[in-house]
Order: sequence, then C-alpha cells, then structure tokens
Amino acid sequence: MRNVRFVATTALLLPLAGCGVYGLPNGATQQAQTMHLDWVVFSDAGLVVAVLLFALIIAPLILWRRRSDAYPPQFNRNNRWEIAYTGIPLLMVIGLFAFTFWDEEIVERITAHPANTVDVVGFQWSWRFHYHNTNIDVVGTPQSPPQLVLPVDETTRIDLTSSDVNHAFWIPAFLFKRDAIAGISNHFDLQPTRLGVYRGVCAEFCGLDHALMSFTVRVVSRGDFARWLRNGGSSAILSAKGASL
Amino acid sequence: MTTTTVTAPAPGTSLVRHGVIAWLSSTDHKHIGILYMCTSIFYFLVAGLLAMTIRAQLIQPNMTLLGPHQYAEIFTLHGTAMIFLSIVPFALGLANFLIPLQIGAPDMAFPRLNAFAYWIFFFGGLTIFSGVLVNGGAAATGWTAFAPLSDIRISTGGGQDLWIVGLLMTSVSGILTAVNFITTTFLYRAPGMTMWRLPVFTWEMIATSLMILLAFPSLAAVLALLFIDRNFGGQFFDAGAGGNPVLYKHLFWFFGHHEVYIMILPYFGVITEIIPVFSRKPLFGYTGLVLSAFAIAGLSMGVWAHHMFTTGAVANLFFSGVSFLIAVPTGIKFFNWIGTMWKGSIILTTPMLFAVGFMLNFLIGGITGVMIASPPLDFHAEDTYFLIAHMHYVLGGGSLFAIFGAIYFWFPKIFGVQLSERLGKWCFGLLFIGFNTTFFVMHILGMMGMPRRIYTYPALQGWGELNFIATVGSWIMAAGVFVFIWDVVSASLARKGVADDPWGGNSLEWWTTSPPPEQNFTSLPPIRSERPVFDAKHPELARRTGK
Amino acid sequence: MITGRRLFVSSAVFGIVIAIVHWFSSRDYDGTILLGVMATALAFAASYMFVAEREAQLVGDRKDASNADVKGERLGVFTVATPWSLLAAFGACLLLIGLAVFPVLGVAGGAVLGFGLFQLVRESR
Repeated sequence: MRNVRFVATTALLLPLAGCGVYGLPNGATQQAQTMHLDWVVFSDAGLVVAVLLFALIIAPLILWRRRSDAYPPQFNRNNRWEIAYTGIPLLMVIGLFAFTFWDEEIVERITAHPANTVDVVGFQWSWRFHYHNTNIDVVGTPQSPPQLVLPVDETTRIDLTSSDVNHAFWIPAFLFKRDAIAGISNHFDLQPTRLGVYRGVCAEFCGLDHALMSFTVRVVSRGDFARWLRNGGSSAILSAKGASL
Repeated sequence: MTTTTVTAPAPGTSLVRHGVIAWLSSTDHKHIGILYMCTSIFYFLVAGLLAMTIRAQLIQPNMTLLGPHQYAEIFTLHGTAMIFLSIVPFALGLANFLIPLQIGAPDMAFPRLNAFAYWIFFFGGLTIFSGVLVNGGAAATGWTAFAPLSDIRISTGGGQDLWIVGLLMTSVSGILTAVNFITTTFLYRAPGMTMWRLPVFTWEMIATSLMILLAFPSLAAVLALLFIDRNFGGQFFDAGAGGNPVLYKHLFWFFGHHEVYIMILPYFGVITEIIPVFSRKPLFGYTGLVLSAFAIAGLSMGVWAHHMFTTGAVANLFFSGVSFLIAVPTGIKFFNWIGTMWKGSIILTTPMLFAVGFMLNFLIGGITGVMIASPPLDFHAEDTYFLIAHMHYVLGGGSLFAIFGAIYFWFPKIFGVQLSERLGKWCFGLLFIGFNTTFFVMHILGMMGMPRRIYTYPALQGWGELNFIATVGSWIMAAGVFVFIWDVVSASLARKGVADDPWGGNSLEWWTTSPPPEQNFTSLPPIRSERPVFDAKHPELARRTGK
Repeated sequence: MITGRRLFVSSAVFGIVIAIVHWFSSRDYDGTILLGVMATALAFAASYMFVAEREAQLVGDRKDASNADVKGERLGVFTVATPWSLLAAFGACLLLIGLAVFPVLGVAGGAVLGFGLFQLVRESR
C-alpha cells in the first residue's frame, strides 16, 4: 500500500510542479489546467482500482490451486458481498461524475467578450485562420502548414467549421480538440498561459493527406501580438523577436 | 428438403453426412456454428496480417512502405474485418453451436433461416473484400465511413459501395440470427430447464440478441441512406444541400455503441463458463451476473454519443453520466469471477489462463474506458492512440483472448479432438506478452499527441522508440498465433480421442458425446440447477436452484 | 415465458424513461427520436408476447419437469438439409452488388433470390 500512496502522491504533486504526468503534455492554457487535474484524478483513481483488482485476481491463483481431487466447499450467493460490490463502485462513479460535472462546465465556459476571435476552417488537407476585424487570412497547405498566432493571457475565441469533410482541431499541448463539421459552427475559448510554439494536428481521419494536416500555434506576448496585428500578420516581425521561444 | 421428426427423448441417429454438398446444404446448428467460427478465424488471420503491415509501416518515423491510400484501405479493412467478420460472427457461431446444446434442444428454432443467415454473412464478407479488385480500390474511409468523407464526391471508388452492401448483408445476417436465438431459448428449453437455470453463456447471448435487434436496424438505415446519397443523388449528409453530417454520426454510433457490447457480452459469457469449471465451484452470484448483463444492455441504449463528445452537438453530461453507470454492472461481473475463484480449487489449464488474461487485459481497458467517459478528458484522448489502446484492450485483450479461451475449452466438444496443453500455454504466453507490449505504449503515444489513422509521423521526441516497441510486440503476437495454428493442425492430424466431459463441465453440452450426434442428445439428466451435469455426477454436492 | 416477457417489458419501459430523460437534458431531436423508435419496437415485441403467452404451456418452464414427462411426445419437425437457403443468400448478394455496380446483375440476383424464396416456401408446405 505504501507504494501506491507514493505513486499517487507523486502523481498528484507533479502537475503542481509544472511537469507532465504519465506522458501527458503540460497544459498550456487556462482551460487545460482543469483538464489536467481531471486526468490526474482519473488516472490515480484508476491506478488504485487496477492495483486492488489485479491483487484480487492473482491472489486466488496462488492461494487456492488444486491440491487434491476433493471438491472445495460449494458456496455461492452472499447478499452482503453482492450489495457491497454493487454499491461501492456505484459511489465511486457518482463521485467521478460529480467531478466531471464540475470541470466540464469550467472547460466549456465561453466568455461574453473575448479579446480576439479567429475563424478556423478545416479543409482537405490544411487549415485557414481568419482574424476577425482584420485582413489577416492565413491559408496553409500540407507542405507548408499554417501558423496560428495567439496572445498570452488573453482569451481568444475560436469559431470552428469545415468546408468539406469532418476534421478535428487538436492542439495536444492544450489538451483539447473539437470537431470541424461542415454546416456546424463550434465555438470555444483558449487562454494560453505560456509563451512558446506548439504543434497542432487534424485528429479526425479526413482522407489521403490526413497525416500531413498539421499547423503550428505560436503563443506570443500581448505587445508582440498587437504589433503583429498592426503589420497585417507579417511573421517577419515575430521571427526576429521571437527567435528565443 | 430433408426433415427429421424429433420425439423426446431425441434419438441419436448415426446419420452423419460428409462432403462439400453436405456442408453447403446443412441446416444443422452444429455445422452452421462450425462454418461461422472457421470463417471468422479466417478473417481474424487476414485482419491480423493487415495489422502487421500497419505496424510495419509505423515502425519508425517517415516510413514509405505504404502509400497514404494503401494505408487507408488497410486500416479500413482491418477494422471492418475484425469487428464485422471476426469478433461478432465468432460469437454468433459459438452460440449457434452451443445454445441448443446448453438448453437441451435438438436444433435451432428456424434451421433454414439459420443457414440463410450464415450464407448471407459469408457473401457479405466476400463482397466487402471484393473492393480490392475494383477500380479505385477497397473502401478507404475507416470502419466508421463517416459522411461526407464517404460521399460520392470525395470517395469516388466502387469499393465504398461494395463495402456498404457487404455490411448490409452482414447486418441482415445478424438480425436474423438474433431472432433465431431469442426464439430458440424462449421456446425450445428441455424439461426443467427454466430461464433461471440457463447457463450464463446462453443468458449473455439473449442480452446480445436483444441489442442486435436494437442496433443493427440503425446500421442498416445509415448504410441505406449513405447508399442513396452516393448512387441516387440523395443529400442526407451533404451540409451544402441542407443535409447533416452529425445525423450520420448519430445513426452510426447508435448502432456502434451497442456493437461494442455485442462484441463483449458473449465473451463475458465464455469467461463465466470457463471460470467455475476450473475453480471447481459454482458461480458466485448467478442472478446478479445475469441481471448485470441486462443492465449493460439497457444502459447501452443511452451511451452512443460518448463517441461524439468533441462534436459540440450533443448533451455531453447526459451521455457521460450513463457511460459511467455501465462501470457498475461490469464491476459486478469482475467481482463474481473473483468470488467464484475465491477458496476454490483452481486448475490453470489453457482456457483458464486465457480467462485470467482476459480479466487482466479487460480491466485495463475498462479503467481507461471510465477515464474517457469524462468529456474534459476525452477532449484530449478522442481519436488518438490512447483511444486505440483502450479499444484494443477491450476487443483484443478482451474478446480475442476469450475467443482463444473458447477454442481451447470447446474444441474437444466440437471436433472430438484434444488440443495440446503445452502448446496452448505457449500460445497464451506469447499472445499475452505480445499484446501488452504492442498496446500498452499506445496509451503514452496518444497522450503525447499521436492521432489515429496517420500513415506517417514526424521524428518527434520519443515517438519512434514507442512505435518500435509496439511493432516488436506485434511480431510476438504473430508468433503466438503461429503456435496456435500449429497446435490445431498437429492435433487434427494426430486425432487423439477425447472423453465426453474432459474438463468436468457444468452445462448440458458436456452430457452428450464429443462431437455431439445429429439430434444432440440420446438422454438428458434431470435439470434442477444451472449445472445439471455436475449435479448428476456429484449428487452429494448437488443443490437445487432456479425459479 | 414469463421471464422472457418481463425482459421485453422492462426494456421497453427503460427505453421510454431514457428517451424522456434524454429529451429534457438535451432537447435533441435526432437522439430522442432514435430512442423513441427503439422503445416502441420493444413495446411491440412485448405486447406480442402477452398475446402468445395465453397459448403457450412450455415444459421448459416447469421446474420439476423431467424427460419422463414428455416421453414419446413429438417435439417438432426439424430441417436437416436444404439447398435453397444458400441459393437465396447468393441471390440477395447478387442483387445488392448489382445495385452498387452493375444493374443487370441486380436483376439476375433478384430473380435468383425470388426463386430461392419460392422454393423455401414451397418445401415447407
């Protein structure tokens, strides 16, 4: 049991120290903090259940192997145990659901007044980013993936759709994806918390070059972002300033 | 038509027919069951080879063994063959063989319908695979074939149409078989075999049949709509013309999530047959276990859109809540198996090893399943290798391990030939190690950001190493499958005879000869509990149960 | 049979309940209609079983019955072999493939399917 507690505590503390757990990337947005906590809670609960049940499955194989031809006591049906092994898992999933209920609301919350709004359109096989109230319109190709520039610590609204088949807009570092479906406009907010360049991909199979349908996300300071907007989205400004990222 | 009039107790005729014509025209449930199982093992081997090529392509970054279109065809055929032509039909075949035997009936209620169901499944499988011969190749849109990707403007090849009609045939086959199972178990039980004395495998098949009846019409509907869209100018899923791509997802997953339980409940039944025999104890909580199967079947009505959390078009919390609840009846099954083994007298034969392997693998798949039932967590995991790992732990580590367990358990009954315990244990060891090597690392790959269905990936940190491990695991699994084939071939050649009841079984199939005669039984023991054969052989330990 | 009837009745009731809960938690037409249709189908099967119940007296439902009770009684007539199931399935396959790629094949398939079904009906007379 001490080992389990050690692993569980470490797993709970790791995200606080800002490191990844179980290979999970650091959440680089405000929303991702909540989703990261969700991962940690569920993984830890799962780990405890797994260790317990592995022990319960393996133990009889060691303790009660056949030693003679005599049959063991033919007992079965025990109401007390049956109620226990129905009730306890039920309480556990109710707890996990309550947790989900709480953080689903936080993750999907949409502010009334985002600082910026970007129209994202998925198509076979790249992305188009259009910044509202500007002329900035970035269209990528599989060979030269487009770049989405986001300001740090500000809320950016993404309006997501597709112009042909289903795609999914996924930034692993943000622990978040949403489907791009023709005829449907999906909205969500991103508030990055760390400067950096992140990888984004299409997660829904969409045909031949699905594997190459990537993009990059560049999170820059607010000043840089304002300058970038004023210069009509010229990335020259950023590559000069943001080489250190 | 050749018919036989059956009086009770049924006469065991020596009228055994051989030859190709006999197999083609037979309506004997045992022949049809064997045909189903052999066909599904064949497709399992084909789909396994396809999986090997997938793993070979992904062994390191930027491989060019396969082109993008070939890769898409291969993973589409792999998924379709494993799900529709292997895991489901094996269960239908096993049930075809076992249900009349387990309930003490001479045959299925509708023998000719049964033969029709098998043959339309057989032709359906061939039709799906015939796509590789036509211009444009086989279907290449994944086993889900989401519209609009599968629409005529984007997937122009005839392979997609053949895939649709082939799948339609298998879904018709499933519906007919389900009707047959329900009728047979309701009406053709032997004297004293009340519903609450049915073996658990038969119970699980009743629940499965119920779900087939609910789910497969939805599949048939979505396939028909897609076919109309493609060939007759329909616009059901064309957003530009007022159609709705989300409707496809609704109809498909309404079928699709029932399908997940259709693929696992029969195998819960298999495991529940194996564990009491080799623990030499009765099942811990028979009634609870049966009710849990129906709880799963019932709740599975309300979970389909947990495949659609990221669409933003469904009530996530409703589907999340119902999905969580399914963990409870699944837990009941686990504790029942543990309770059955508890203080038993356990014999670790090959079928029992596969049952234990099933429990360990399925437990991991179940836990990751609860994780991704939480939408905020699914927002990261959906459509990634984490999901691939989850799904393969449930269907590969779960259902396929149970298939091997079932083969080792019932092979002596079906063919009257015993498989080798020594080779069986090698097969289990290689499969268990290979399986976990292949799929465990996929959890990590998914969390690191690898999406599913990509034919190539860039040389990002750690991806190459983990994918290499997964590919090595696939070779170990292949070795395990070779040992299995070797075992079956050598045992069939040696033809070492076997007793009627080699394991000390509980249910009625162990009462009759191996293989069973034409009308299944020459006599029946009195049926006073869910394990009549055990009661008859150990009257001092017998107990009377069942309503 | 009573157990079987309960099975369908409780599934139908559960289907109705879940359809209502789904409607009030999502206001989504697609899903609610799917659930509603499904519950109706179950209720249809359940109602048939109420009708069939009156006539059925199954020896399999009597918990003290044994083989001696039905000695010599006719259990039923079972088909052992027929070529027409295979032929009908082959015809259905041709019909569907024909629809997909080659209409003439579809007509031929329809004829084969019709012939197979006709033979199946004829031989059960």
